[in-house]
Order: sequence, then structure tokens, then C-alpha cells
Amino acid sequence: MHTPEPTGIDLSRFDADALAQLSAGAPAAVRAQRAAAFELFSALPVPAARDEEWRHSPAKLFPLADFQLAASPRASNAAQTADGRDDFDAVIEIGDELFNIQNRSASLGILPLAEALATLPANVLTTKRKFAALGQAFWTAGFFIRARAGAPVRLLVNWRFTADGKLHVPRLVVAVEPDAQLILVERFQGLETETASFSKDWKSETALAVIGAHEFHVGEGAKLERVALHEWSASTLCIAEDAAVVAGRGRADWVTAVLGGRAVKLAAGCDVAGAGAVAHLSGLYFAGGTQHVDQRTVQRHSSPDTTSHLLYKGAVRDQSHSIYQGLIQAARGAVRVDAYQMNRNLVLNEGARADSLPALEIDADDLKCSHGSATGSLDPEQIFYLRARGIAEAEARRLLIAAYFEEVIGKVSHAGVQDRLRAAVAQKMETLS
Amino acid sequence: MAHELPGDSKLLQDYRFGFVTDIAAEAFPKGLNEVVVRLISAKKGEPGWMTDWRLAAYRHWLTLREPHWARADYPPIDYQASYYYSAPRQRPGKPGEMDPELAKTFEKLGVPLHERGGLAGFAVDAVFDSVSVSTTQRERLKKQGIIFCSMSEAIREHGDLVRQYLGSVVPPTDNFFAALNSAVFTDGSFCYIPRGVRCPIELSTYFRINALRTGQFERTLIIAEPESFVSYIEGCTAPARDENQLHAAIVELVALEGARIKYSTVQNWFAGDAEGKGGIYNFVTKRGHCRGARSHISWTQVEVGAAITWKYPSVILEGADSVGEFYSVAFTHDRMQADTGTKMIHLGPRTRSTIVSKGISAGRSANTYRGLVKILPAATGARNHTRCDSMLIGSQCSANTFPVIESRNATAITEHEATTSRISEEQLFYLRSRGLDEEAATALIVHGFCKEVLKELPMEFAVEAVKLLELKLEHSVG
Repeated sequence: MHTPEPTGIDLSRFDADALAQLSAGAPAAVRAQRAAAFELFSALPVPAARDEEWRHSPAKLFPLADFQLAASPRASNAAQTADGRDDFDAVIEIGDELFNIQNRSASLGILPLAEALATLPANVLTTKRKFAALGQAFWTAGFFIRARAGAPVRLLVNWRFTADGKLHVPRLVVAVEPDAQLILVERFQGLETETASFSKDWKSETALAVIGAHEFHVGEGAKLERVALHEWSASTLCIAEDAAVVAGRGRADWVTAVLGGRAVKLAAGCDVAGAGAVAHLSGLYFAGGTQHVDQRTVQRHSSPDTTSHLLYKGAVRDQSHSIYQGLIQAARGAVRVDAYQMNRNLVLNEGARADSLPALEIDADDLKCSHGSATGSLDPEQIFYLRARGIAEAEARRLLIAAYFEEVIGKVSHAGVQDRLRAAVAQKMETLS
Repeated sequence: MAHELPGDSKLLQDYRFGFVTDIAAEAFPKGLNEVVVRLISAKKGEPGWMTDWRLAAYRHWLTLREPHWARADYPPIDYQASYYYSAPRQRPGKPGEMDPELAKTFEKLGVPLHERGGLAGFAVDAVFDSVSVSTTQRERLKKQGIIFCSMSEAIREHGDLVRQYLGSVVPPTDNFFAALNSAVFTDGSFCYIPRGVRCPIELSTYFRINALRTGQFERTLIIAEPESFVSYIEGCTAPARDENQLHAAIVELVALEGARIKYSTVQNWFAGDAEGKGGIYNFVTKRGHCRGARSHISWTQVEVGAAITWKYPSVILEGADSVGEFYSVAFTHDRMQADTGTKMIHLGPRTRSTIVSKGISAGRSANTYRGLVKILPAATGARNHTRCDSMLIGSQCSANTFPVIESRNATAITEHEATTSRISEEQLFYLRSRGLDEEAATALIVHGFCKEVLKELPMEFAVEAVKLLELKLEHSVG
């Protein structure tokens, strides 16, 4: 059968007019940066089902043309509420109309991106990714974060958007300077005005769309721990394409947890680009209802003597669908590389679906790269063991799922965030029989 | 054969002057159109339904575009510049004419002389030899009701069987190359094993591939009736030429209840020279269908040739408790590009599949494993285990692994493991310190690396495969 050419996501909204509107009144440096990124964005093709990466996420899942591009939030000096923020040296709160920066650390610099661009050298990463380029051109809420050498600093970034038919483009540019240490926790939340169910009564006016494009520059000997908690509401559509570059002896620990959202498509690329650089990528995802969670990771070894380890663990229940696509790349000449990638999936009931695409692209010889993938259900023997000790079957299943995710949760250094993840997993299991 | 065409065909008479008269040259004029498709069908004396089938495939092919998702770089193929029908050349074979490089190869392979002629692909006696071998076997097979003949003969003599099964596993609409093959295939093997019969000998297509060397589209169909067994061997070689040739074959296997088909391939098409000039484009669709319960299809392949390989022998596991296996060694050197793997589609309950793939890249080659394991909702208790290992020899080659695992059943278990590394320094050092030179040490390590797959090959074939690998390594090490 001859199938018609699949079309990509409708991005016609992101045109020169929209750019002009965003750029209006902005400093020249900001306008220049947006214009350069827009050129890059325009030159890239819209990804469609013919691209392997988008094969499992059809364009119809992301009706972005139905959303209005949000306006940039303004600065607010209102005091922040406590709510577990004491653990952090700095907090950025970003809402629909206002943002608020609270910074108690001398070794941390935080600036709205528009202000930072005026003083920064033009910093447009050349990217082949359509949505990363889109984020660079159309960011609505952007921040520049700079961590200086010294003791570890903890930063919490709370993104909270209302589901009211708007499309937000959050963007962080994070520079961890040589020998600096930054722990960054990002929480992504959508606020529902009315309870939207997963499928039928979904409409864009009461939904939220987000396109994220963060970039992280980890300097020589620097350390970055980044935890991203996608706690989106049930109506949220989220596409994010984040990239990190780790210089020599630097280290990036990247934990991504996807629990919410109607359709989520994340790409996380990490380049261990200098000798001795290390990256640890970890993922936790738990999808239910008709959730669609598609994640791609790239562990790129552009330099010799680099290490990357990845562990992504997911579970799917109800009618949900998860896709994990992982790629290890070793560039020509990238010798003495140690790369590992492990993806595990739990399919909890009939009707749920988990796809795993772990890939290796190796152009160098003196190295060790491997990957593993395992998909299955809970081990009946383990359930039996627990039941024999008087634990009800449903409870036994919950215990085993919690234990399964504990391996990833343990990668997060912040105890409060760990608890938050455990609670989120527990919530996902509430109605599980 | 000097292209004797049936004189009663008006079509052929009209077209007769279009033929090149040089006996060694190809028979039909260049290009592909409905007339050529009809000519092929008429030349083979096919019934009308077969002609229509070919034409439908051809018309569908016109609507398709050549796929380019594989990891392969090659200049655009001009389908109108190829010959779609060409019978074997009739020049008397002279060993003196054999490419010295090839001659040396066969010495090392220790292939018996008549086969050696066959390998070179131009010695007429070798072709005759093979045919007579086949005939004697056919008498023996016939007593058990086994049909083993060329596809052309099967279309003429066993039309009902062919009509029932041809295209039932790989439909003409399956993909670009499948549609092309369905339109213009010139020959191939047909094999039918009746209920409860265990085929007493290994069936092989070595010789006929040689005879049909210049006809680059062959089609094989194997039908195993309930509780039967057959082991089938396919060998391919091609002479060195400096132009690229397209080879687009289809193999269809049908295993009914409790039947078992074991299909082994040693593919050694000409791979092009060190600079990547020439060689075969091996774009092949191979698929088995475990239709009945407890049926079993096993693919074993040793891929050491072809400039570009695009090949994914697959199994559709429909019958309950059916088993699919894929064992593969792919060796690439110089400028070769191999994109190969398998697809295991689990439809039925308790279906099991095993994938073992060993890729070795040397020189400036690119070796890619691409695989799909698909567990559909009805495949309760399905099980897959996949192991893909890649070895790199030299710093200019690439090894890629692109598996796709789709699981839609909560009771199914899939496991995938893959490693990529270079040949172990330590193992090399150990062997060399015991007096082996680097070449021998490398060969030994590679042999060990591939052992899991090689042991799946029928014995004589395994010996040949090992020698071939060693030979290929010789050019690539150091």
C-alpha cells in the first residue's frame, strides 16, 4: 500500500511575525540572538514520522498550532513562600505572568536571559534539532545561571504554568565554571483550571503546551547535578530538547523523571567532550491512562578518555505508551571510552506498551561500549514470596514497583527530592490493582 | 543458451531485433517496462496468472520510492540502465582466465574442483555438474514426495502450490525491492516437504545461484508441511567486476504445524575493491512465517561479501509455541557497508525467539545491526533474547547497533544485550607470546567471537565459512 508522506507538527505559528512580537522593545543583543536562532530554526526541516526519532510520536499528538504563544513573564519582588525551599541556596519561581528570583549564594549568578545576553558573547549553539533551535529563537521565559568555583550550591527552579491554551517556551542557559559545583532541581508543573481527563474531552483552551530548550556548559573539573521533575498536569503537551557539554574532568549527573503530561517528547543530549569527563544519565518514567512518553538520550563521546553511564527505568500501565530511544556515539578517534546504557521497562497490564530502541554508533576502536534492554512484567515468584509472608497481592506489586524505581531515585542527592519522587511513584500506583 | 525464444510469441517476434547478438552479452535490452516484464514471463513459459501477478507488482513498484533509511551511501541506482533478463554466458571455462585473486581464494578454500568452476561463475561444466547432481538427488527426493526444483519449473509443473504460497509471506507490495523482484525475478528454488517427512539431505542452491549470476533477481520458496523438516543451504559468490550490480532476491519460508526449517547462508558476493569500486548491492528480503503451532524457523547467515548489504531475515511467529532464531556473522572490510539484522514478530502465545548477531568491522567499513522485536498483545508469555556483539579491527571502521524492541504484552519478556569493543589487546598478547603471529592470533580470536553462530551451520558449510572468514581477515589485519 502506498502511504502518503507523513506530515510533521504544524509549526506555522512560529514565523517572523511571532518573532518580531517577542523581540519588540528588547535590547539589540537579544534581537540579534533571536534572529540568528530563527534563521537556524527556519533552515531545519520539521521532524515527521519518516524520521526514526519521531516514528513513534505522530504529529497529531502535538497540535501546537492550536495554542497561543505566551508573553514573557515580568519580574516580581513578592516574597516567596517557604514550602521546602530552605534546602536551597537560591530559588527561581516562574509563573504565567511573573517570575521571582531569590538568591542567597555569593557563588551563584542568576539573570533573566534578556539581561544576560546584553553582556554575554553571542551564544547560539549550532544545533540540528528543530525544537532546540525553536527554543533559542522563541524562548518566552529565559534565565542565565552561572555557578562559580567553590562549595556546592543548590538551586531550585519552579516552572508553573496554567493550562489556558498558551504555549510557553522555557529556557535555561547554565554555565558551571571550572571547579564549580551546582545542584539544580527543576520542577515542571501545569495548573489545571478544570480537571481535564486524559483523552476525549481534551481541548487546547484548557491545556498547556511547552517547548523547552535548555543548555548546560560544564567547565573543566566542574560538577553539575541536574534533576528535572516533569510533574505536568494531565492536559500538558511537552517537547524539550536539552543539551549538555562536559569539559575535561567535568562531571554531569542528569536525572529526568517523567510522571505527568498528556504527551511528552524529551531529548537529552550529553557530550562528554574533554579527557576525564564523566556523564551519568538516569531516567524514571511511569505512564498511566493514555499518556504518551517518548524520550531520547544521546551519550556523545567526542573526546578520548571519557565515560558515560545511563540507566533509564520505566513502567507503563492502563493504555499508556512509552518509548525510550538511546544512542551512544563514539566519534572517530574517541579511544579509551567507557560507555554503558541500560533501559528497563515494566509493562503492568495488557494494553500498555513499552518500546525500547537502544542504539550504538561507534567510529573508534579502542573502547568499550555496551547496552542492555529488558522489558517484562513483575516477577510472579517475587509476588508469591511476598504473598507467602502475608502481604496482599496489590500491595506486593506496589512494593516491587517502588523497589524497582529506587535504583534511579537513589541517584538524586537531595533527600527532599527523593521523597518527592517516591510520593509521585506511590501516587501513580494508587489505583493499581 | 543462445536465447532461443519461442517463435510463436508475437510479442517476442516484435522484440526480437532488439536483442544483442553477441553470445556472451545479455539477452534483453536495457531498462524496465511492461514489455520487459511480459518478455520475462513469456520466456519462462509462464501461465497467464503469473504474468498478471508480475505486472501488478511492476505497476505497484512504479508507485514506490527507493528506501534510504539504511546506513549505506551509494550513488543513485538507475533502474533503466540495468538488464533484467540475462542467461548465463556460454563461454567455455578456462582456468587460465580466472581472476588470479579468485584462483588463490579457491586454493585456500579447498573447494572441490567442479565447485571451484561454479564459484567463478563462468565454467559451463561446473554448471552442468551441479545440475546433474541436483537431478540425481531429485530422484531420491521424489520417492519421499519432496519437490525440489527451480522456481520456473515449479511455476510450470506445480502451479497450484506456487499460486497458493508465492507472495504469501513477502507480498509484492512489501517494499520497493520486493516489488521489483516480484516483477522481474528470473529464477530461484522451490522446495516442498510433505507432511511428516524429514528431508534426508541438505538442499543447496550454490550452483544455481552461479548459473543465474547475471540474472540478479531470484526467488526462493520453501513450504514445510506439518511435522516435516528441511535444512537448506544457500551460497553466493560473484566474480570481481568494477561496476556495481544490483541483487534483489526474495526468500519466503512457510512452516506449518510442527514443521521445522533451517536456512543457512554463506554470502560472499564480490565486495568491491579496496577503494570501494564495484561490488554487489545485496538488497534482499527474507522472511519466514511460522504458521502452525510448534513450528520452528531458524536463519543462520555468514555475511562476508557484497559492497552493500541490506538484509533482515525475519520470522513471523504466528503459531502458538513457535520458535524463531537468527544467528548472524557479518564481516566487513575495506569500504563495505552492511546493514543487516532481523525482525521477530511475535503474534502467537508462548512464541520464543533468539537473536545472536556478531559483527566484525575492519578497514574503512561500516557494519550495522538493525533489528526489531515486536510483541503483539496476543503473544502471551512470549520470550525474546537478543545478543549483539561488535568487534572493531582498526580505527577507521564503524560499528552501529540499532535495535527496536516493542512490547505490548505484560506477560512477555524481552532481553537485549549488546557490546562493542575492539579486539582484545590482552588476548592478542597472550596468543602472540605463545608463538602465534598477529594474523593467526586475530583469526583465532575472531573464530572464538563467532563460534556461537558458526556452530549453528551444517558441518561442511561451517568449515567453509571459517576458512572464508580467515581468508577475509588476512587482508584486513596488519
